Amino acid sequence: MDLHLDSDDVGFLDDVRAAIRLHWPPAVRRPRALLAGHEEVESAAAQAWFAALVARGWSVPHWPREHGGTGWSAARRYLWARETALAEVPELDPCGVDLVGPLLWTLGSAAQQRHLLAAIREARVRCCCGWAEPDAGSDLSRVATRAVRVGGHYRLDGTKLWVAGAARAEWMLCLARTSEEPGDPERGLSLFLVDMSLPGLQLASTTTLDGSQDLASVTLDAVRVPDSALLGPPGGALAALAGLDHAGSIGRVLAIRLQVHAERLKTLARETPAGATALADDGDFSRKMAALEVALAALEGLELRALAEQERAVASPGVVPGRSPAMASMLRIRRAAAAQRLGELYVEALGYYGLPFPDALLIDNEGPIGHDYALSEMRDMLRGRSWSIDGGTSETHKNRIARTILGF
Amino acid sequence: MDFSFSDEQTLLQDSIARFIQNDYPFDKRQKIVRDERGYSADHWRTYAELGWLGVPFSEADGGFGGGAVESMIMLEQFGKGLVVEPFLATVVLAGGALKIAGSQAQKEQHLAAIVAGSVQAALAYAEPQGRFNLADLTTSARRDGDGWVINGYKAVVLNGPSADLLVVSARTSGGQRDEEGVSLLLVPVAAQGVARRDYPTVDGLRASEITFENVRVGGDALLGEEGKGLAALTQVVDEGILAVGAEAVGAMEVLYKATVEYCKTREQFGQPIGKFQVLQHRMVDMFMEHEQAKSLMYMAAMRLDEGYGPEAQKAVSAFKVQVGKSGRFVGQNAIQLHGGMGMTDELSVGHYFKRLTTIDTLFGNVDFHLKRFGRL
Repeated sequence: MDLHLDSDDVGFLDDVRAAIRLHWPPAVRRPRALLAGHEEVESAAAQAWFAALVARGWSVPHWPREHGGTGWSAARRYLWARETALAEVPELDPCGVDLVGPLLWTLGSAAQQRHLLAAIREARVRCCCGWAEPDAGSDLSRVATRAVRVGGHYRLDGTKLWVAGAARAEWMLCLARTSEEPGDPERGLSLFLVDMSLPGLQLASTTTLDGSQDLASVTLDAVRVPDSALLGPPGGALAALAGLDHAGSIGRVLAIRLQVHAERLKTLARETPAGATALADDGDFSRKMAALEVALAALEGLELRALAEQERAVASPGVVPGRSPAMASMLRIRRAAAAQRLGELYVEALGYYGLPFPDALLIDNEGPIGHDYALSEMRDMLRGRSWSIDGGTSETHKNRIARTILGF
Repeated sequence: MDFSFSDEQTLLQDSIARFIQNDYPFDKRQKIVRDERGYSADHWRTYAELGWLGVPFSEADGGFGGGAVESMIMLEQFGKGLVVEPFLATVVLAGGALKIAGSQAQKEQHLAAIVAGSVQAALAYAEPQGRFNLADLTTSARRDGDGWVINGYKAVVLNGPSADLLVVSARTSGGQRDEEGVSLLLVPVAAQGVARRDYPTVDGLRASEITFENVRVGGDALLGEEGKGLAALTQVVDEGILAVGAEAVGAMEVLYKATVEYCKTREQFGQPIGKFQVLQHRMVDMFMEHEQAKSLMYMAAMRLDEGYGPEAQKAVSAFKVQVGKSGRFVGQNAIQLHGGMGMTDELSVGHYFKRLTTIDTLFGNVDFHLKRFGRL
């Protein structure tokens, strides 16, 4: 156990830094919101970055080698995550990379894999996730969207809510009920890969607290999908998702991105007058800031350990007990807490200039009001309330830890 | 860069875990605590024979070449058993000071004896007025011919009652809180003018208040450079923080697991109390507090092994902050969820709580290290 970089690691780090400088040059870098809106990943610079990653075979480091992953050690994956976070590079579509991809290689048919795996890896298609419904949030067993086999296809009817990135996605991973299972409603749920351009599928954008419209509701009205849209065995959706959730949670080193924002907040605090000195010199504020930084250091350590555990599990399958789902839940809970605390402190630091909330329709174009990134940080705070809701509320993740680790 | 234990490290962990499991059950530990000496001389011999007392020292110094990670591994296991033998005082603190600042001759004389288990030692660094500031010293040492004369008072010297040898911080120049002018000196407890008042501590250890009145020591008593002792002392204390923090991590693991087991069997209102979600979530929080402290423990150990400097200091302070917060949360809630049973002296839970409480204070509490972290 050590942090020492041997000469191979140093060489790797040099390569990574050189690639980032080349393909994500300082000139295109801007302070990024933690929860990026679509305009960021759709920019020309972001597209060029994705293309460079694909060309180097670095777009999905955490995937298995046979599907285009890099086979990097935990240490290299950490270094990669750290350097990309420090440079605030845009991130590939998380639904495709962390959910659809892993589901395809674990459950997908050869044809399904051929069809989509490379396209996701190469950032040619984008996916969205259709989980929640009006009556199904944390409890997915209540999903009511129906998939009925009619002739040689399935007919989907229902409504999906809070679908992130729906407007720009070509495919939706859709949870739907293929059979009624009285007494065990979870068993009747299946996964479908739905082509978003099919007739009968309708989007309506949802405006969130931060004023953005990245979420949408998706209505499926007699949408006909072929049998080949079914991903994995009928009725096996929740089992597949439960085994998989950790793929997206483990392998990210979000702590570094949060640390970048924390550093920015400290700069803001140094530049913000508070009486005769600066806010950064205020005892109460600096104490809260230090506590946040300790929480971020703990999160970084936790993320490192998750990477190492995952590496050991891959190296010796069956030897390491299945802690991953609980580790993933813990990471989600701690990330949510740290990110939300960061948002709170930003709002405190902004003072009065946290108030302006420019609506594109109601404001002039004469540049930012107050601090130049005040708006994005306030939006991050507002939008950041979703950290503890999206992907399962923190409370349901605690239930999962209680069940899987503590044995309740 | 490697985030897993090596085979040797796993072996060390397993051997200590086995010792705690087989030879250190809670009732025997309590017997040792109530014994006059406050620790088991037999166990101390065993530690020496197994080579544990030499783990953190280099092979050149007669040790086994372990680093911070190895110390961490040992102390985490010691924490699970609430081990009371003075490993911290003798090996980590006094031994650490010799390792960092000692001359070849001093190491040969004293480190070898510590590793062999034939000498007990203590670090006398704290003073009543200084709180957690290592430089705040009224104890003084002034030159007297070839040697030194020491006058002053040291507070809560852990292992003082059993120590043969003291490492004493004293002011050799400058004002009371100056960073310059702090020196470390080796003082035999038997020296003329050393007076002790011994007492037990709340967590079952032993300590002393020690007065130094015109204590004369030779020129070879100076440990490191005159007036430059604060850097070595700070490093020793930071290594001590890793040690007690690792103990706390071990203690927290025992506590959250004991609490989970208790809540599965204790029935109230017609069901095991562990069925209540409000208690389940509390226990999940205890589990996560432990995991966070453990994560920062690994970071602190790896940073210390990378070389001592601001990065390591920062990692140590972050760890200490987390240990203080997590330890309090886990300790208090372990008692709370055990209910009336948790209040009894008979159950081990309260003793872990007491150790966690003293660990928060040792070497600076949450507030102190939050400030230090912010400054670094």
